[in-house]
Amino acid sequence: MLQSFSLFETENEISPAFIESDQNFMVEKVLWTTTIKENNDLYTQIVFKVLRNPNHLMSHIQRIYVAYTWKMNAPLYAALIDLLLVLDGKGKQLSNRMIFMTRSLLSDQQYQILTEYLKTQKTDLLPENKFTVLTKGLVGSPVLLVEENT
Amino acid sequence: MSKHILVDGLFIYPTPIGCYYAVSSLIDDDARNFINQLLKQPRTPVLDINTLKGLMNVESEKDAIELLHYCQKKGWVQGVKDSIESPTGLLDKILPSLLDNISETGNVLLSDAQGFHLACSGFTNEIAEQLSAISAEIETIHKRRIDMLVNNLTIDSHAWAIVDAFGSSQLGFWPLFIGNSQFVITISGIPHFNRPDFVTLIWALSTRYQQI
Repeated sequence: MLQSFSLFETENEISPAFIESDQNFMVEKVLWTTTIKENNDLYTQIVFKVLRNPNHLMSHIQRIYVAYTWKMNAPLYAALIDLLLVLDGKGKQLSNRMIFMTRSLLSDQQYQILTEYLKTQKTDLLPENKFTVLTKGLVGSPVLLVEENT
Repeated sequence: MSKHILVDGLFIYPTPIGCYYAVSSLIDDDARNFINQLLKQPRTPVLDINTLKGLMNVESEKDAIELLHYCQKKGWVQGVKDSIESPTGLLDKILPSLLDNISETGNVLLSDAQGFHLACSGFTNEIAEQLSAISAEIETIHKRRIDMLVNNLTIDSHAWAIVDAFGSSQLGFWPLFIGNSQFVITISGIPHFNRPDFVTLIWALSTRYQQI
């Protein structure tokens, strides 16, 4: 049964898995690499996984898990933004859970932005940061032409 | 029956992906030429049909609307409400902070095709010089083998990288073709060409190195 106090608690004990795992959100090892210089190496591998297959939700969860576990505030916010963009209004329960349970690491402003988005679903209310990889970097409107029926 | 009309009160500005498309290849096409024309302007031009025809070098309104529609579908252009001026000031003053923002680690280098580094963020001076030399050597290899890469392997990207066992880039080299000049951006780790600062960077280089 899921515990309400922990984001990634499950009823079964899960062993940390290799980064290639698509079954487990708790990745802690990078196969093929003999030395891991720092936590950032694992985080970087997961971001590349997200980039290679943006619609693969497990990679997003792994990214959020790693950023949350290692208290990486800006990367965590970016991971949540990228997840919301991919979900595009779908997966409301997953979005809610990820945002509410990582709240302790988010600033008040970041939390407000994310919860506001959940209410409105307006992507222009989702300001990117340096670590977002799926945002388009727009500063204006993508619409310059509109269709008019004559 | 429907027709496309321009949105009022906007100025045309390239998106990061549009900029990347414009400067990542030398192949001539209408969309690439249009975005490169935008990047030569000292300020974002107003969105109207005459300006578009001039920037696109086309005679008919229909052709201009079709090309803009294509660029909009590709996400290569955007409309801003207030005109933006091109970045001014000395390149060595403005480039380092722009470079810093297009990488996760902040380790980025801009060098020219001859192997001289123009601006750098994160790397030490000594490493920057070595990487500039490497980027020039890679460019020489690429030029020598480009026909085989494009024609036989259908790889039309000009970028090279040193990868790990997963194929992820540890150090990447991305050529930028701006006018008759060629530059190389070297990034350690994850590149972030999706940042608005990438547009500013390319605009800053284009206004100085593209001939109007």
